[in-house]
Amino acid sequence: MSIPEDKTPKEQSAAEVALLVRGAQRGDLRAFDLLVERFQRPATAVAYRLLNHRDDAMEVVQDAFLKAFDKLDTLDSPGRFGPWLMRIVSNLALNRRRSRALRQTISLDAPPRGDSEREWVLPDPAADTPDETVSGEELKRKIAAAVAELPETQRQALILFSMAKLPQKDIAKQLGLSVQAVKWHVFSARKKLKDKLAEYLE
Amino acid sequence: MTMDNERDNLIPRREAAPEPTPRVDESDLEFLLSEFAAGQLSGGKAHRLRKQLARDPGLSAELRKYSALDAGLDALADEEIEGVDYEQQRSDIVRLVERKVLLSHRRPRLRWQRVAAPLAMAAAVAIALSAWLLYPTGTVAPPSGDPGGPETFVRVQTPAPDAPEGVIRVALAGPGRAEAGTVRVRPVRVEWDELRFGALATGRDASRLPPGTVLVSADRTPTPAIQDPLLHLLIQ
Repeated sequence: MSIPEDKTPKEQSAAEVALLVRGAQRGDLRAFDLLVERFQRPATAVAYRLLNHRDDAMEVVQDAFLKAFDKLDTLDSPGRFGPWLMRIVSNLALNRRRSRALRQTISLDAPPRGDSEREWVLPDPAADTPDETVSGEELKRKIAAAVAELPETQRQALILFSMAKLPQKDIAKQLGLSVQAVKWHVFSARKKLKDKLAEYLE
Repeated sequence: MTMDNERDNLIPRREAAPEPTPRVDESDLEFLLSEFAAGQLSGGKAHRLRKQLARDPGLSAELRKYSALDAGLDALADEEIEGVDYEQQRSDIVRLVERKVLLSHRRPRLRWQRVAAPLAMAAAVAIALSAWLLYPTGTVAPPSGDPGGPETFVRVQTPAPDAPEGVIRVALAGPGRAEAGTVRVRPVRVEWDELRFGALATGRDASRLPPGTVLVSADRTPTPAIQDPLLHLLIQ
């Protein structure tokens, strides 16, 4: 089967993905390998931003692909593999985050609660030192640092909306919020980032 | 990447202020701008905002900031995370999938295969049963001296040849189906010159039958409930 040439790049990409998904559904592991290659980076980026921990993010991505393979024949629109995978990734990442928080709460032999148990973020030396112009790479780093400083729910809502590209109703379900609340969190996060990074976004 | 949290040499995250009640004012211009930049605004609202943007350079500048922010967030979504070996990650995932497939001794099944498998099995059983039921003598004894292997011992009983009508009841006790025997079906008229059956039945004796046995016996009990989906398919 070939992909018609009169399609837009987005449609072509969806058609290519659909071909790979159908191949994988037939048991073609090479097709599944290509799906992994295509989606592992965004999946890892989203998991990492949600978890703030690289090894946890890698485990989540691995689990997500295995789960996706198991459930592949339940995917009704093969061209929508990407968003479907992102839902799995974000769901697993949020579950892991919750269970991690629970473990920290109920751990009997954990050290007394103090700074050692708090959530940490790496300081970004470039984050608070505005300069005249920033490259795309620097801007990305500044955005990443600003995202990491957002309140938890705003951060999760923003990552799921702007990076995982999930619809707001799916985000509402995953975060246990109303759609209205998700809109508010996404908007608040975007406004904070825009205001904070205003001079770099000119 | 500079913000990879390895939990040492770090500073604590600032305590977040309590979050306000999450309720957005959808007529707020800033909110509309943010939604517009994110492609979430359509129809009349988008049209009005476009007109306003055309008149207000300050508003356009704010929109450009949101657009630049979105471009940055998009780039962040495609970013490679420092310290992640993507080739290794990919080969690990594919190896685990291969292992999974090998261990399960199956290929992933398509939806049509999930439907077709029971149908094919039902068809096979139907053919086998038809062959036994159409056997002219009504009873097939096991070969003498043969203790009856899983597929060799079959006994068939039908209503007496002179009976005007009757119920054929079938007990299945094949390999993996020793539990068969709870299936009941409607009575069926038996035409001896053209033996038909629309029904299969119980296995009161299933526990005593060796594997591979098919038992057909006469009965007049009208018991139409069918509990076994496979046999239900078979009699349709």
